[in-house]
Amino acid sequence: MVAQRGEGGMPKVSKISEAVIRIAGNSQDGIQAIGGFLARLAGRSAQEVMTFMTIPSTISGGPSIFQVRIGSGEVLSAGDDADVLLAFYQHSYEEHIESLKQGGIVLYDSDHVEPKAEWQQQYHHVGIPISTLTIEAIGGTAKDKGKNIFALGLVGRIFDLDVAKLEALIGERFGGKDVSVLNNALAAFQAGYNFSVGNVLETFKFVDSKGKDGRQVVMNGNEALAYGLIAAGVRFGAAYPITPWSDVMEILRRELPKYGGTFVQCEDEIAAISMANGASFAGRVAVTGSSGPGISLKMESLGWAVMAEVPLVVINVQRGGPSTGLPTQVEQSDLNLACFGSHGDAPRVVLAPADVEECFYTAIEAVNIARKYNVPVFVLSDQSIATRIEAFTEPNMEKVCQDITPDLTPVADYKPYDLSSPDGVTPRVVPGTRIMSGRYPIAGGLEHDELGHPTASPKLHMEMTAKRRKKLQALAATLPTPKVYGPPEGNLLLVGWGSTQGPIREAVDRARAGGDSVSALHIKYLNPLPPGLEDIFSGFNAIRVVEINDEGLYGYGQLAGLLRARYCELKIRGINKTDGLNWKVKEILERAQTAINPSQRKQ
Amino acid sequence: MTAPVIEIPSPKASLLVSPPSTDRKPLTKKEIAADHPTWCPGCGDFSVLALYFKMIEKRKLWQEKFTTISGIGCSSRFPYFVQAYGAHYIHGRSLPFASGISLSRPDLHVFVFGGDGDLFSIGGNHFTHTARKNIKLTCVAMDNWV
Repeated sequence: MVAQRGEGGMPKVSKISEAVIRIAGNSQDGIQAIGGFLARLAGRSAQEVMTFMTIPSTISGGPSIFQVRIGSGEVLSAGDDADVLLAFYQHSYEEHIESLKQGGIVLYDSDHVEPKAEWQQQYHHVGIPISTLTIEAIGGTAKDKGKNIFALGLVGRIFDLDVAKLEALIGERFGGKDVSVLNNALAAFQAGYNFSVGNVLETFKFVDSKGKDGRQVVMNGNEALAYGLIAAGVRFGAAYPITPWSDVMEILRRELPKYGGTFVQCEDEIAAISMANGASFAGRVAVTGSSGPGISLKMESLGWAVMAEVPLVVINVQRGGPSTGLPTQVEQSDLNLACFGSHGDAPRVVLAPADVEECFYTAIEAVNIARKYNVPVFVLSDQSIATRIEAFTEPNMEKVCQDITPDLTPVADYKPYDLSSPDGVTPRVVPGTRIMSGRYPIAGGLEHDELGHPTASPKLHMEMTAKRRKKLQALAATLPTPKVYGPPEGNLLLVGWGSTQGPIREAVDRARAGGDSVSALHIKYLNPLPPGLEDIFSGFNAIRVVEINDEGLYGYGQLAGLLRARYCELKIRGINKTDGLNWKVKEILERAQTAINPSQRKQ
Repeated sequence: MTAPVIEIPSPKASLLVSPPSTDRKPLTKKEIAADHPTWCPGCGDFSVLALYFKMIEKRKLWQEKFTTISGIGCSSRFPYFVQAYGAHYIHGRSLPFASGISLSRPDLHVFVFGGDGDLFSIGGNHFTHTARKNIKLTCVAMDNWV
């Protein structure tokens, strides 16, 4: 996508199938708002979209960017390099100009940005006095507020976007406020759209995308998790706010009462998981969630849920660590915590969705696994999936929504920790259910007998430990083997989990287009691991686990460590980084280069 | 952020006395007692347990309609000595655990037993916040000065 002036000064119109637009400004400039409009417009136009943003963790002020990648075809990642950079300030221009492809377009606010000569050779510079023109268009009573919408108009004109749909999105966003706010926004948009940028720049038009089978919904990962939990029948949640989990909490807090549910903001993280444990003990499946620091706090209570065999869903939206870490940056360094955190042998289930659509369905799956196996289930999301916007086919709500109200019909007798069940799974009888034998169960953290009463019997501790472990083994036997992306045998297998799926798959596509033998495997079930992985691993010469966490003391990251321990496979090595940003496709390819050696291609 | 609004069931609902049903006789002490208490002879906790049994008999509570919750400590052995649903939770956190039961199941009575360490020391924060939230539950503190 290289900009050129057309013949005779008339703007050229080029057809494109995708575009990456990076908007760079300061926090509170409304960058996320216009990025969000572009993403939602794409979703409503049956296109694919993925976004990526960075915000400072400073309460107010500081640089912020929002990148949108829109495609008529498949969009797997938020894009390595941008086609268009919209820069509002000098620092936005200087820090992000090199994120542009060669010959890419930089649209800058000439009121604030002084372009540099050496970059003017490499990138197509278009300077527009955005701030001044915005003030002219809407009166300037609020300084240059609204310049983001003016810029949206410019982008709309350059990409020949659907004006009616964009104005509808603006209306939805500002409609609830004073009518002058909406009018100013629309005026700014029109001013930007009608600015004669078309005369200095060619315009681009997306080719029609393949029709989608059904309407698309557009949302970010946190929203998908929250709505998935509600659809799964969760009616009680308790949590404490922490970036980047807070959005899930805000949605649950607002929505659960509409379904007769309750959400409580507790005094701290430990109270939150304790409340959730109590509500789960009382009959349904409760949810709690946090990010790194809060999950660390919850560990003792999690151990109780494992020992007492109470269903619980714990969401961890991972962020940079350790300790307070990088609150607004992505990392995948809580895998070990999720799998092994808490003292003693405390097996629990860990799932990790790979994209926004999976967040919705994995939430439902987590609730159902918790209910069936009476075990806490971790769902590992991260800041990248949580905040990026994607479009996916609207779920069939009739089929997907569940009612998990407990059955309180009286039973004859009940042993909560019945050792006679072969796979360790005991169906639950909850408070409110009359037990005719008169023997009632106690749920507790002490090692216990079949009725829940404390015991230090050596035999019982071994049997109960085995029961808790057997439940996960029973679950593992039902899990599907993940499918390899690309041929099932080859030279290099790139393994990943969570938000790295897109860039890894794009890396595979690019490498294969260049003649290399590379495939990818993405694992959603992290504890227990699904069956069949050893057969997949044996089909490749080299295996690299791509993760956003440290390579550790021995040169491999957290999932790599789990796989090596499980399969004793020394060819499993790591590709790691901890810069707080998701992987770029070219970074993966560069790092994998040593492993993609054509002379080692399997026969 | 504004404080969460928690719907509190009306007081009348909490004076729930299970309607006498023809096939159920009121609970006797034999039915409601479970394990023999493991407290040292002469401990005041015995009288608290005796009073609890008496209250259950007098209020005609059915076994499945109430829960006995505790944390960790001498007094926190309570649930095992009562033949009804109960939970023995972790040190200091029995009040939020019990709040979770009370908020999600307003049809159940919730009784929390704890000591001074469990409720005022490690659990001090939860004690004040549970009181502030005014959750519908009964908390019995057995202070042994340890």
